[in-house]
Amino acid sequence: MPYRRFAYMTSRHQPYEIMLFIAAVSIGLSYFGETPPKSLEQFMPSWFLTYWYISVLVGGVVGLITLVPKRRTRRELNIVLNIERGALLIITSAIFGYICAILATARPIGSAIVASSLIFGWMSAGIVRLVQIQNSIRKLSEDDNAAARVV
Amino acid sequence: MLAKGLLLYLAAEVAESKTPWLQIIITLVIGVTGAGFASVLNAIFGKKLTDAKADAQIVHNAQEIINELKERLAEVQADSKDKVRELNIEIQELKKTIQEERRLAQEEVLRLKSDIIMRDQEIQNYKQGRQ
Repeated sequence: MPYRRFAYMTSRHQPYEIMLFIAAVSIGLSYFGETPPKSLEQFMPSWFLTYWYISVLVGGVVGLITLVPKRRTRRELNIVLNIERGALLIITSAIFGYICAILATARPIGSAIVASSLIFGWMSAGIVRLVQIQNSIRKLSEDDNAAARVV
Repeated sequence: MLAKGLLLYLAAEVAESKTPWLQIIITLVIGVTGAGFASVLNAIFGKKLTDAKADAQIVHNAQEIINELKERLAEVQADSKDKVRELNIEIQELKKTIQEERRLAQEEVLRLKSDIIMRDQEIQNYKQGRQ
């Protein structure tokens, strides 16, 4: 049987992804009331810390927004998948920044590895989901192009 | 203009960072988050452009189909005109043939009539001779 790329056309978000968006909103909101973690404060310049928090907050909010609309048509599904991809890109890259901050500042190195590997797991899951979304978008666009050629 | 100013500001801030690898990480994070923001904005505001493109494509395809149908209609009309012309010529030839046949038939009728008259005359003469 020939290999076929599987496209994830489900309308449901994966549970980890919903939790990731909720966590991102919580982390982003915490910037306005709580002191940032020491690893972030030491690693990042203040302007970049602000950018980082705002990115995480925006990524989380946008990601949660994609939960709301019902995806009736292929075009709506395409739009929601693009927004979801953007939200995941923002949060995943922010997680990467956090991993770098932990590895650069946390000591002893053993605890830094434990903390960063847990977060690395979240980032990897985000990247896998990104690849799935990208495949779905490509499949949708290939189908639409084929339909346009038929018309 | 706003995006350009923001990029210049970010580039200046990145350049002031402590170490080169920190600059690389910050640039990477800003680049990927920027791609994410662009994806979100494109999905929200790019929809109208995509719709317009799709509509234009549909109109273009429909126009091509209409042109093709017009060409086929013109071909069919030209074919039917040729056919009608051929049939008219055939009808004219048949009319001529019928007229010729009618003329021949009338001549034959006249010849037969005169023949009958002559025969009749011969019979009368024969009768008179017997009397």
